[in-house]
Amino acid sequence: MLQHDILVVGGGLAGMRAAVEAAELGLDVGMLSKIHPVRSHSGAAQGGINAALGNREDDTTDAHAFDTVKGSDYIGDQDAIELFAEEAPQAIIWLEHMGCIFSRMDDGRIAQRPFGGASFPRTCYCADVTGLVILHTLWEQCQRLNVKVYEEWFATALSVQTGVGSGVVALNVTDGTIEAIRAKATIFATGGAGRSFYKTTNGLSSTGDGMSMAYRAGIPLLDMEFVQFHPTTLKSNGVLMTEGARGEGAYLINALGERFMFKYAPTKGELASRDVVSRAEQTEINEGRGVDGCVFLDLRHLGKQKIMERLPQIRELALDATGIDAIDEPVPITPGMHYWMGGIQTDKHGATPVPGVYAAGECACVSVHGANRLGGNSLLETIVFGKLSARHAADYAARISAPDFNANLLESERSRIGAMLANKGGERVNVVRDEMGKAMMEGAGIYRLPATIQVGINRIRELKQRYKQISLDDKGRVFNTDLTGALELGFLLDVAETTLAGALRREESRGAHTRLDFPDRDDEKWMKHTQARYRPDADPELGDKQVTVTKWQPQARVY
Amino acid sequence: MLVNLEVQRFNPEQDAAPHVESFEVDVPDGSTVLEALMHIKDERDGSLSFRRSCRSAICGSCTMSMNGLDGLACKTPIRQLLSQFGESGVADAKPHETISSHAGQAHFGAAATAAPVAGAAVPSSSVAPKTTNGKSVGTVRVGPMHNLPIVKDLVVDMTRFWEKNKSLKPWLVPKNAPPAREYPQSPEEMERLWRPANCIFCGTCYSLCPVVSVDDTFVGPAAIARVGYRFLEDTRDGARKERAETIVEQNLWLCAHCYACSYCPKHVDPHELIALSCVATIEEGVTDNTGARHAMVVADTIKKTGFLEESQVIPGTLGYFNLIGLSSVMPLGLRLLLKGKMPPLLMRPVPRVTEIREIFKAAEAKRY
Repeated sequence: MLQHDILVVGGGLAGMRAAVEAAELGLDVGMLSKIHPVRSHSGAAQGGINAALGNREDDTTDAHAFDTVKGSDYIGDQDAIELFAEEAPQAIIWLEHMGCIFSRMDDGRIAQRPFGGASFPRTCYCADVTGLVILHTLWEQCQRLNVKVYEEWFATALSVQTGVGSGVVALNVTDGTIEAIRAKATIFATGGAGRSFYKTTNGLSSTGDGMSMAYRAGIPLLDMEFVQFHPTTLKSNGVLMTEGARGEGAYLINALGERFMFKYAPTKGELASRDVVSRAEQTEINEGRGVDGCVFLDLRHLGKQKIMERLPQIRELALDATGIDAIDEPVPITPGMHYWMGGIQTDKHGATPVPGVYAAGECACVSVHGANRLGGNSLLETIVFGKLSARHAADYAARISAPDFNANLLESERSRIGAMLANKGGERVNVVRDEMGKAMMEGAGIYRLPATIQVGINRIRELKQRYKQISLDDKGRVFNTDLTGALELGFLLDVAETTLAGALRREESRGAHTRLDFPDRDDEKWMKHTQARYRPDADPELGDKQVTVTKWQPQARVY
Repeated sequence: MLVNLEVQRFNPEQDAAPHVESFEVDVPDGSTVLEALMHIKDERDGSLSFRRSCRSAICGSCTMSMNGLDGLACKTPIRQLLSQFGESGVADAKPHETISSHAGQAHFGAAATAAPVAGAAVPSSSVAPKTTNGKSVGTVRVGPMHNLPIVKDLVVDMTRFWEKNKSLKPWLVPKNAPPAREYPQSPEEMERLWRPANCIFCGTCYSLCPVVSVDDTFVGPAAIARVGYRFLEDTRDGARKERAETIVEQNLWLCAHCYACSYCPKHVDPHELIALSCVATIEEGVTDNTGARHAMVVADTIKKTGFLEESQVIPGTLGYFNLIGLSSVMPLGLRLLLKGKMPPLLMRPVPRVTEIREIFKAAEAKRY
């Protein structure tokens, strides 16, 4: 059997940061990724990564922590947030020392730009390809350390034996073999689940794999109802236009040419937090001040030179998708599904309630983002908690002897996948997938109502039954992406189900979760995390988890 | 819009060789090649295999050959492809009056015809498409990227590509012990790294490179630009000399300067960075090799006389004391002599040769 001290599932920023740390600590680490690590969706992150370096203004880690708590609408766990903000400057310096390319100030220090919800210019960046340069830096370090990479291996299930995590079952996509990979500690770093929505900024690989695998193995998912809609996405294909554009001074204007944001956020305007800006845009559109379901991102006054120097990628993405050159014309944009604040429940060291199982990055809910993530905090989360989860997993692995692999799991996964390949006459994958996407758009969008959420829940319940009967065109072993697409759909259905369940349960409006029937935040009743536990062939079991408050009591949230 | 896609298929579990299959699909106007392929996979044939992820030209997964030119399928709108390059017609002399007869079929037993090489022109399969009354906007021929072995359909095995990148030590070797804060780097110093930083390892240049197609010891344009040049030019790196030696060992100088790799979806333009890498290796004194000697002797003779002195270039490139090498070109020299075509051994400088020397001086002073 294949085995390692530490197995990292996922090869994006959080996964590679974890793998590098484990390798540096001298452990035998394997990293499994369903696509080549440099293909990971982390590379699509554009605007930057937050740290109170104070290079431009006297910033503090305390200010960073407070901004994050306020951004989270007071439901982030403050012990984790304080650790997160304190670790941030060193995380950036570490990346820089590893060779990461950052935009610079004239004096040679790392440049920082303003971002939404931040009280100082705190976001370090490399033009608008920040995720890419960090992803490449970590890939370079993985190569330097000769990290064992299971490239284009697709994990299908987590092994838990006598309450202890012990690795995964995975499909080698290239040849179709299904193997067990045993590990003392397993770290999930599988990213988000944007593909459960019909339209999203997320790439086609963001399918909630780790969330679902952990959930099915008995680990709770937390705060799944908190789904971030990014204020600036292209209507035609959902592609992201970085918040860095507004950080550099871009305006949001409506059909009348008005900068409308100051109506909604009198102080911060365009640089309010994302939930506030997305709701404002949707309101403008709903009230008839949009054009074709869009408002506009106006970069014209920044001038060609600044756009080409700081925002060249988004200018080209908009040009490719819409034919509009942001240098000359405002770009039509719409709020679009972007990021999962919720995920696998972990403590502030990345440990889940099941010993030997860790999670980091978007798939995890530590929770540092609470009900709304600040721009620039997701890349930071991957670097900080990628490292911390690996350190703690390493300590754990040193203390235990190799655990048993779940004796039945390999066979049951082989027969599950074999049955999926053999099934004939059922529906196509895309039929079920698209219906799920539409149910999520309607039930779990920016504005939510119990009736539409319930419709979504019923639809997902039905789709889960229909999913059992889907059939594939590709019956082969070699590089069967029809099969991996079907397995991904199964993961996404779990994500959709728990998200809608949380959205129905949480009877308040907080951060990105806006219930039209409960328009206010309710700290008396809902200052707590929603917890969803898996029950085979039944709706998820819902519960609560305490929010950790250290020094910031909830206040009214105004930008 | 209706579009006809002729897709190269190869399933190693069934086929002896690749074959082409036609799909006529109705996709929204403005669709990219990737969107059309995804439409086929969703609605028609789930076994069609290709890599894709971000669909926004940043992950580098969906590199393929489209109407004979390689690039990212997600960044290639069908209409633009057809207006730039016209209909493919490479191996299909007939008009594109086509409709697929394969909707819903899981497998294709079409007799494979030929060409086991990735991206080569493959004849259409005998399962011929029927008419559409010419409504289709045109035909897009899609095949896997070149210069790498096919795994299945449009999926290639990129192992060698990654190995080439790794051969150039793609990680920073710090020049100085890490300071408490960031290594200082000026905006201008960072600017030099900007172009290679935009490389997404999509492999378009590797697929287009004619040198790679004939000599797999050539490290390839992506590795030179993204790994070689990027670290040679990073002010924080302390291994410039070793890097220069390594990149020459990996056959930097095999680049034929054909500019094929200038066609880069991310505007990295590897060719120019390859040229600058050549300069860097000479700066580092890694000159005891054919490529560097050739470049230097060409420059020297022009500086001296204003002419490319061919009689100097051959011995200068091979090495004046390389008796074996020189003797191997002796027969050529003899034939030239007998035909009266031997270039003069000594050449008189052109008038005002000093102006030419000034040009060199200016060029050498301004590297960027």
